[in-house]
Amino acid sequence: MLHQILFLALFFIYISSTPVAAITNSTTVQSWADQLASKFTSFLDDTMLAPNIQKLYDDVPVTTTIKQGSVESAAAAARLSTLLNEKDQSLRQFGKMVWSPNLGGVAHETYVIDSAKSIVRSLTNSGDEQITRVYFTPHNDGKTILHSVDGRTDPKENASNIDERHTGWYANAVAGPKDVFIIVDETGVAPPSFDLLKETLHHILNTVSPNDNVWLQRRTGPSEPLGTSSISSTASLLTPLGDHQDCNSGSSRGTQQVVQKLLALSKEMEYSQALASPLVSSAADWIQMFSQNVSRSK
Amino acid sequence: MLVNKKRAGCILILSSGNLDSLDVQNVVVPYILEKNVHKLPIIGFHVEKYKDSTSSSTVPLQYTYTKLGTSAWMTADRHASDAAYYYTRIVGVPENDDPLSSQSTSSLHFWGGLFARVPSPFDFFTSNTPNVMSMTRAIFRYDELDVGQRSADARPVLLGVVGFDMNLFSLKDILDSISADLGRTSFPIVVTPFGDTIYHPLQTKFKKKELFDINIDISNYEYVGYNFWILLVVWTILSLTWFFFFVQVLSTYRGQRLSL
Repeated sequence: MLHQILFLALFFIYISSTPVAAITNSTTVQSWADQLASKFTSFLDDTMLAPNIQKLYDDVPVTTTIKQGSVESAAAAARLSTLLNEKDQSLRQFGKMVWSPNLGGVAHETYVIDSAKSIVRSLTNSGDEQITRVYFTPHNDGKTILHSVDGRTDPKENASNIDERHTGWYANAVAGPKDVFIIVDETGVAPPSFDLLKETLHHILNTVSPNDNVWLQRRTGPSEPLGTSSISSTASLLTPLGDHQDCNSGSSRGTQQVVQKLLALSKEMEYSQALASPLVSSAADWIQMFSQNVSRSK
Repeated sequence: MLVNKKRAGCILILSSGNLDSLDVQNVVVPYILEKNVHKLPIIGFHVEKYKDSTSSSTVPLQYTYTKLGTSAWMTADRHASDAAYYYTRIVGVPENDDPLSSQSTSSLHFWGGLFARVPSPFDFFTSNTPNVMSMTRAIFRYDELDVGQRSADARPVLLGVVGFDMNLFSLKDILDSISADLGRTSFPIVVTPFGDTIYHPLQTKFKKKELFDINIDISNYEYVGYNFWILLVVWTILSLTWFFFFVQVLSTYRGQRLSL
């Protein structure tokens, strides 16, 4: 290949340097150049009317507009806000339909689908071209009831069969962006229990959404310290405060109580240092998290 | 209003069950209390001695309260997934559960694009998924609908989440028109508080109808830019190509001279 390229280069040099027999003289060439210049000048002046155009350009007054951008930015913000608030109102209306305890004897899934169609019809009649899917994921089973808008996405697509309660988007809808500090104590765990521990961590990481902050701290050895602080009498902190209560009845009352008690406890102790440096969980967990997050409506 | 200025947060303890041990408590608990400067709620999940994967599998995870925080012992497989619902316990429930008049806000997030999932070799230089704007909202309901009849301890039940998926055509149209109004030297940018880019003129340079590769950090557009990396790669390839070409030419020439 290189030899071929070299051959072509040498061939080109040879052709370029070969003297050509004189077929004309300088007087003839000067005549050709004068004719070409005259024709080009005539083309510019008579055909294209370049001087007239230049004169017009020079004579027309010029207006220079300088924009600070604040007005345009405010206008953009207002238009975006209006756009999103309109959708928010429609979403609230759909939520109200789902929220309504009186279904009139209609099966819940059918009722939700009918409500979704009604919302889409209302939006379309008002000129909306954005809406592509309307869905409701009940918290009791995590199976999404989906209505896909015909003409904007595949109307025959089905909701995935995964439990959406274990996805980042669902957790984000319930809790919003959140900060989660996870401490895993692996000391003295037997293999079956360790699998349960790993599975729990896996489920928890699946609920992390892209806007969350996550810290992960592991303790793997019995002599490995987690921190340098020493607060005495900590064993008593783990004793039950009172009667066992079931938090599974769908409320966060327990958390509120605990927060209040923690606030009371915190007044007795000194908190001085910030949280530990964040340890990002493994890349595989993040990749899986994102893939599950996106696969919801594919 | 779609702005949510409050962030939820918590500390989760996943324990092998050794927290019964005073030695372990004296290591773990001081560390947690010391680091919890923001007074976040603490939830502990402890693995009890594993009896049987099917035992108690129908019983949901039971929570108790300790002086440290909320605590639960996991004894069955399903408790691993039950623990993942921790997020329902770190949010304040709305006093008004009516979705139309509730003060609680909806969530808005953007997804889709080249980096939205693990790309396949066929996805390079293309947008492999539709670009979607999702608006979601949690729906709560009290058992007693009449506020006047409701007890002070009443807590609403989380019914689920409603949501819309929307395309970005309208969003792009609005910002394109603003960009045109601003002239040639200015342009609008839409960035989330977390630095994710929703709209940037570089996204629209191919004049697509839809936005693509949203949610990329704004620094990729404003500080580095795609063009820099593309130019760097092209420049490196061309430089190496020319280098090896001249090396070959020189070696060939020297070989001929030597053969003479």
